[in-house]
Amino acid sequence: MSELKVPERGISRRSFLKTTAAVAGAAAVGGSAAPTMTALAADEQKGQPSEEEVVCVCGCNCQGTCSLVATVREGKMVNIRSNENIPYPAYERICNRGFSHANRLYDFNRVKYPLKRATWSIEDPHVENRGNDEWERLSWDDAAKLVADTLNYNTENYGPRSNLFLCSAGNSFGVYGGSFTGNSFANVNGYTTLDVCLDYGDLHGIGQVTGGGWDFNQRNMSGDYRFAKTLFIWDTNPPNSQPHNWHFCMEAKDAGANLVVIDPTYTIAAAQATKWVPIKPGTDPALGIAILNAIIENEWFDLDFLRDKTCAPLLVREDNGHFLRSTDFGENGPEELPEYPFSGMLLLQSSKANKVPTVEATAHYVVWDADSNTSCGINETANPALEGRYEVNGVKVTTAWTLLKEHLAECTPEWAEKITEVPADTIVELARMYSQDTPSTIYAGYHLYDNCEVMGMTWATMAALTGNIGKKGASIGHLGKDKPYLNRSPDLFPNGLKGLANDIPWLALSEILETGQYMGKEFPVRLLYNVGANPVGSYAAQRRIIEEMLPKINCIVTNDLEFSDTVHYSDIVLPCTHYFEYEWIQGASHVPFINHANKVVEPIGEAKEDVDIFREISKYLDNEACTKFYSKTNEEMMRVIVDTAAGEKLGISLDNLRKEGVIADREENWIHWEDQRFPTLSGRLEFYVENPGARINIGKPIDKEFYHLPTYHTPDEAHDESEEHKKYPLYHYCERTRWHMHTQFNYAPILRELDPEPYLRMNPVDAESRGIAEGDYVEAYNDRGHCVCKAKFDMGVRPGMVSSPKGWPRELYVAGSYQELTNDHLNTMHQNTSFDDTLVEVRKYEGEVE
Amino acid sequence: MTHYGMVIDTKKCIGCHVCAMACKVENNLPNDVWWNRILTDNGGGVGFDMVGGSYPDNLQLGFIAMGCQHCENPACVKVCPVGATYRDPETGVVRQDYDKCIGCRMCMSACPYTGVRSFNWEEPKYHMDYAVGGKDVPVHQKHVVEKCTFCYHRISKGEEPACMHLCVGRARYWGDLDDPDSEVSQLIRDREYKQLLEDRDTKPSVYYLV
Repeated sequence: MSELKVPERGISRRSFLKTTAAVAGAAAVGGSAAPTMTALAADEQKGQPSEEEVVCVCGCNCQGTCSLVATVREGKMVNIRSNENIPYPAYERICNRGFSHANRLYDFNRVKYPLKRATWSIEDPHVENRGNDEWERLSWDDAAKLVADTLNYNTENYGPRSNLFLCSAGNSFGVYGGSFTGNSFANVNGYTTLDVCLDYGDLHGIGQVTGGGWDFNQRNMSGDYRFAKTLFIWDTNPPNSQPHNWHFCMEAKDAGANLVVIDPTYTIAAAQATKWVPIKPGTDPALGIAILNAIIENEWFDLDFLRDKTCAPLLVREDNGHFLRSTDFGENGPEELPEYPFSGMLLLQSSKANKVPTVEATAHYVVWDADSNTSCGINETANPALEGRYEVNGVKVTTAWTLLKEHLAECTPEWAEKITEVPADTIVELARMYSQDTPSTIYAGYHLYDNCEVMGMTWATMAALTGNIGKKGASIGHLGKDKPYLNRSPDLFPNGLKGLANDIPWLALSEILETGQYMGKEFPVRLLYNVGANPVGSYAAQRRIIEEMLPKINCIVTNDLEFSDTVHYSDIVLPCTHYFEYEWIQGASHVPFINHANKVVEPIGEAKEDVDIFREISKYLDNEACTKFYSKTNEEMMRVIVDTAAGEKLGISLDNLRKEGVIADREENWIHWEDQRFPTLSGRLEFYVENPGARINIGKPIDKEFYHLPTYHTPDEAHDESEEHKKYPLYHYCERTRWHMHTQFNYAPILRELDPEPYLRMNPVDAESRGIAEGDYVEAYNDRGHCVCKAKFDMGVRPGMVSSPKGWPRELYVAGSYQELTNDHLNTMHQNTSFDDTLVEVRKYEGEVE
Repeated sequence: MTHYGMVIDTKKCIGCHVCAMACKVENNLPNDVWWNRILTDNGGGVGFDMVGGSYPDNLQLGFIAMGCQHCENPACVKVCPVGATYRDPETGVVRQDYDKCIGCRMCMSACPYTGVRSFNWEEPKYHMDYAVGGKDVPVHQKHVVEKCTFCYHRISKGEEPACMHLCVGRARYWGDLDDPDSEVSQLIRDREYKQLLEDRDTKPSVYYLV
């Protein structure tokens, strides 16, 4: 390995653009392929180099969870294809990015050795030198000891919670391997885990109604979209972001379905839809609420479903806003109710939430029997009143259905037309399609605006009113699945659940660093450890992160396979493997499978898989529980997770996974919540939310009254009446292109041939009024920052909007970054980053461009 | 006789570039060479991957996956002075014999489908310092004209071309146009299609369903 040089700094924009077409990957890969490989077709021809085919998995977490077959020749990966040997061929998949993996493996941008920033030390960290790429190489022993000493120093002097772990989906999003190994390490040592605040906003809103789903566990499996008669593709462009799913939607269209795309931008999805509904950005919840109004006005709701499967007949107490329960009349009065989401740690959602109560367990809910005109237990009548106001034992109550109808009475299509700029008759037509041309599915994007939680509540309420959930062709929200046959707790929570604290939302960190306080107590932050996470590149308001947040943290450690934006701002960098360089297991939440990933090639340089990185560190930590945890081999760890009694019934075990590669864990067109009972307290869809809760309790109040029923509120700044709009009239959003996956694949030269540099997509209407011609360099700016890049004209961009392709690193912009522009507003309810809730102004860039 | 042909459903193509990338990797194509390009069909006026027309009522965005059309009546074959480009009688594939090619580029100017051929002015350069792709892919040479081979090295082993292993949008079909029962024959019998530059009388073997 001596010929490999330690990169002195990451590549600059200038040198990258020059060398994209010419660079040869530093492809010094030692050794032959691993013995665990599944040789599917060894070549026996004489004189030909031997080849092996290895089943592996793309771990980039676009939710494709692609099982792939890599070809390895003389120890190097030479080819890739979709794995054709899977249980359901409709799920065979690969994308253009998947073909760039050899590029990524042997990419010159990879981190190959443990590195330390030269002027950093625990006593004197010289945070002002971050970003200067003043790297010096460390041995693994020295690096692991340095990290362990720092963690221990902080623990002794500031408490274990002063060490923060940010584990995200950027590398090998598996049930064994990659990002979650950071959670295991943090939990066994009592450190703090952070919540990423990414893509949870509307999920939280949906979860308020369905009782589950913050863990992306909502929609039916994608094969089921084929059976929808109406498909709303709302706030997303699957042909770019999830190309593997689009053919299911097109099959529905071929079978005569309404394929409706709701999006301000004319996307590929819009071009292939039966109907495109252009909408004013950020106003989608108003559209949804008016659809609810139209469904009610036209009596297009499903009364049987409302009565039997939703909270419609439940009686809401006038005094405390909670559902009336027979237990309310006991000595202690109404019980204290838990708030959804029942736990403030994502990884506990599947164990603490997602519990569907039995019918017997919900017998204490009180309804009004329409036949006898008296109150009774919900299981005691087949004909509970859906409407009306009553008094039960002196308690004034109203049915949830009456409250919803009254609440939405003013939210007419005409009201929404003024907000959304969608014609009222189009809104009525959408309501008709969704409720009458059934079954209907909502394929949701994340609505990255401050009102995302209302969006989610609205989607779920649409399903509740029309019964478009829990059946063939009908589901809402986001795709995911529970994996009850996996035994993950011993791996994720080696010390058990006792004493575990909630995750701390990233968006709350800025204030914690500013005040040194969290939840009313002192909270020193000493170390930030990034695992599969790139907060500098991926999180909003980048300049605030670089200039205000990171300098307040003494030590930043990052495991990464390449020089991400965050690596450049780190103090200690540990090289981790690409997901083709070790054996791991993918739960594959977005396909009806569990996927096994073989090691394809030897790791480059001195890269180690994340588990082994933490094992190295654990050697110097001197923590008994941690030492015990890492005394298990990686294979033993895998067996703990997948060799279970429940898994055995499905034929799932490590041995079988190694043999089969891909094993089905459910039906091809799996229907979620098929018995139409839900993990709410009542087991019904609760479109009336009796006790709304913040996604994570961070000690900040939310307006519970506001969140009982879906109520429109504007985005934070991206609306015409905001203060910011006077200075920054253009709505800026981050589109998902097919050339990046968040901040992954940025340097793969094969992709950069076709997508060579960042740009700002504009409608010429907005460009020409600013004296900007196609191909000019422009500066987009607001109070948070700026970026300089080329302008590209696109007639499909709604006038008044501009967009930046998501993913590009800072160094490939002429100046700044699109991520400097994005909004990091903390909404205390959903705590999700509203990236697209961003306004900018754009001007022609007059500076020099090299 | 076999006559290999390709059918591409433009109503399903999402421009994802999976087929283009599969070709690029399988054939170990030199830097900046793409035998299978995904053209944006937007009516002109704006660039690659951009939407044409005017917002919101008259917008246009589509894709044409474009490589050698493997014509039955190929313009390139007629002009090659050395017989380096020829139509293979057994498969209907228009082939390019690198060893015979003298680099005159007559075929490039005769072919009406601009850009499907490339010429290696210099020794080919690669991102990787080892060859990727199929191990029996012909080695790229300086001063030679190249183009899509319909993955001749694969079809001669009974495999489909690399671009056909999986179209993620389920828009691509491949088979024998001489076999009336083949999927491609049925598709062009049942569906409306177009061919590129039909007026040139080249008789392409690539059909675009519309």
